Amino acid sequence: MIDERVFTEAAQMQLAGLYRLSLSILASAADAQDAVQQGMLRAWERRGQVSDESRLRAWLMRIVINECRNIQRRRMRVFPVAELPRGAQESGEIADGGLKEAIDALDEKLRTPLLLRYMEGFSEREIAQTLSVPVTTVKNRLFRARKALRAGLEDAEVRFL
Amino acid sequence: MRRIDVNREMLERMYAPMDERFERNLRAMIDTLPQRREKRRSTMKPRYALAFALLLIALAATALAAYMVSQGFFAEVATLEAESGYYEHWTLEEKERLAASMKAYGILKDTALWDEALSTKSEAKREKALDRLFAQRYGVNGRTDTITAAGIIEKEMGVYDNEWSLEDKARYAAILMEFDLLGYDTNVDLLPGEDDIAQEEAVRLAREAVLDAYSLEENELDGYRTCVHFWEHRTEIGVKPPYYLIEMACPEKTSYYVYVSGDGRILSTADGYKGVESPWEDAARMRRMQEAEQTGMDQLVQAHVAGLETLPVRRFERGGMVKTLSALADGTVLLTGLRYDGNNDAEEVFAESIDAAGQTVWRAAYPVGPKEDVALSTAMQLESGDILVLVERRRWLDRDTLAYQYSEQLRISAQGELLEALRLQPIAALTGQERDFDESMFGVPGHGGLLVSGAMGPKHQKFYAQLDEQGRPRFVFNLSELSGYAPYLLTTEDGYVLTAWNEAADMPILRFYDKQGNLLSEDAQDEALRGLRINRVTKAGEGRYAVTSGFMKDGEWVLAFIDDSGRLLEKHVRTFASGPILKPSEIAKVGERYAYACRHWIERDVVGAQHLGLIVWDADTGIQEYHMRDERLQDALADDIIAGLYAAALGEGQLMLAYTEGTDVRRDYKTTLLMAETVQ
Repeated sequence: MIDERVFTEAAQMQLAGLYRLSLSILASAADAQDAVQQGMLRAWERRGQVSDESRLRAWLMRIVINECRNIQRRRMRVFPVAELPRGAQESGEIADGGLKEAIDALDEKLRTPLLLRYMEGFSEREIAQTLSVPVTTVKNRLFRARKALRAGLEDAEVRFL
Repeated sequence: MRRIDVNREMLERMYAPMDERFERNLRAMIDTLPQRREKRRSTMKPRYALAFALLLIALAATALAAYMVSQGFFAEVATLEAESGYYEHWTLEEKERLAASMKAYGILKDTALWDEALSTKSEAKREKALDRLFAQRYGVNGRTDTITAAGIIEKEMGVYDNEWSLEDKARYAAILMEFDLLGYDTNVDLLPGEDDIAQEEAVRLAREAVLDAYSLEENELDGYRTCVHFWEHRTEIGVKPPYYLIEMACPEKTSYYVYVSGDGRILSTADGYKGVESPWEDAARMRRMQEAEQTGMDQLVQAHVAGLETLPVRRFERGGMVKTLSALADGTVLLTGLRYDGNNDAEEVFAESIDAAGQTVWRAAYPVGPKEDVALSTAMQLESGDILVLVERRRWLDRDTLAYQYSEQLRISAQGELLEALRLQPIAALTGQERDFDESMFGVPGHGGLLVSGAMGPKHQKFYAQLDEQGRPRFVFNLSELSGYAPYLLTTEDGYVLTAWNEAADMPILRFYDKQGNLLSEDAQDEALRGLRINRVTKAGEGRYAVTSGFMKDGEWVLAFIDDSGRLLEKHVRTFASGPILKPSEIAKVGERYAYACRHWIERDVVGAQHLGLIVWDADTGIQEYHMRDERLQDALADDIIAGLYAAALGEGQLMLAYTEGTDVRRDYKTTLLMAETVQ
């Protein structure tokens, strides 16, 4: 079983990333807060399931993503792409050439691996563990996500640094 | 061409940060997690009081004065939690008693503030002052509702896992056990005996094992801290000897775990302890995963499929999310589920009769109210032909306030006409046991009506209630005596079979009931059933039942036949994969065969490579796995969410399977029916 301190330290460290990803899925700050909070409690109850610290990050993320899905089911909410809130864009802080809209327009199946890879810095293997899919599927989805993103940005060249 | 460079910070800024206040509270909550336990208020029984008194005498009799502080303190705090629950339930007198004990044991270095609090004349002020002091010392962020016995003791004695001696761990565990404060699914610290190797020797052996298994150099373990337990799982006490767990951990690096027996052997999975594997096994697992990733998961699946007989299947697509699939008396299958209409933002419960050609014979729909949350747990056909569907309806006024929650029984005619929506009695009324609030009720097909289950009474005891077709309880099974044994009541053709699992004895518990709920026989305790964790029972002839076990145990599928007193008649075993089996459907009796569908791993620990197979047993060939020839099926398995997997036999030995795929965000669920023709 993961040491209690290791668990709480990892949870503290990942908190912002877990929230960002929840927000990208749920598009509601209140729901994203619920997802992270409930996910943390659930992860704590089930911490016996993970014995390897190297998998803790992916495991926590998977639990919170599952919680996001539970919330979607429970609250019967649907988020048509056009109605997704724009986060910081509302305050005009970002001049990204439509990148946010293009990312939000991606199917969740493509958007989540993309954000895990380039926003949260997950390895392809960690993404595979998080989403319970083969690494080859992750590679495929990332490829499709980048391609779709390029199409969404009118064939602009998108480089992930 | 326009060029956009995307970096991590840019992506992070796209999503508004957490509300500061929420973040502060959440971080505080995470810090309190180690102190969280299930809220409860327990009462110490007289026999515990006597045992505790004896324990104190025994502890006091030990000569080492240095131990007295911790022993007395353990006992004092554990008694309080056992007698009175958590801090917020303690009386002023109990708080005063603990404060006085802390002074007496020399735990408080500076007693001035405590003396002042204890001498305050007004009771209210005295309690307030003590609350403040206890919260400052033991509460997280100064809150009294985070104070627990474990938290108090760790505060005074250091972190349990890392800083306590084996003696203190064992002593504390014994006290927690004595007062029933320790969970059942947990390891219990014990003391090494005279014949066991010393802790230092166990650590040395563990270190050698890690260096060897992971091909490390000595200096690569520099900076790792070592945590030692001598323990075993609670259910294995008295069954197997305890062992050392040596954990070597270093921040941001992989932790190593080594299990060493009392006689100095490195334990492995072959020793059969819960959660125990050798470092060599762990290293091999990591290598297998890396190799599998390099080889490609698809190749593993293809190699597995090449060894299976392939069944042609027919595919029928439907919208919505499947919740149940069952055979109807007219030879069709009944598909029930929930369907969301995104264009009109409306949801409905649906029931559909589907024939062997995938054609809808009839369809009944029942609308879900605006902002309502509906769950559907079972559907069954009565002898009259009418169909009952159990749904639960909830509506939230806001995030925390439930406007209503109740279960409803929908009655549909054999021709698909919705006849009635009957609101069922709440659990408290069904069971006669008061509850602070009503929880969810689940259902399975019963005899003459739905067999519902849930938690009853203030202690959340598991119950089953057999309802008649008007939703009135005919009888209630109170399963509180089997708490800790995971009891399930299963409906069979001629009554019910209760199955539970005695973890310590490694034996199933079986009870047989008639349709009126009268106990017919119980617990034959046939040694031949040892290890058989029964989770499905199907009537298989006069006085004979087919039972299955081991869905989640290393891909091993067991089908056995037992008689009506729980004695083993035949047992068939086959291992399909070394990983677990996932999402098994119900077992369908297809002619003389038994079949179910499931996802399973191809190789142990290679999570990504999975196959969706059809598992069939018959008397001649034993257990076989079939591959269903449907490209979309395996694609869905790899790419999309598959919610649920259901199986039902049609007439003429055909098997219908149903699963759902789709994405959660848009709830564009799609249910697929697969007809396997040649299972017969």
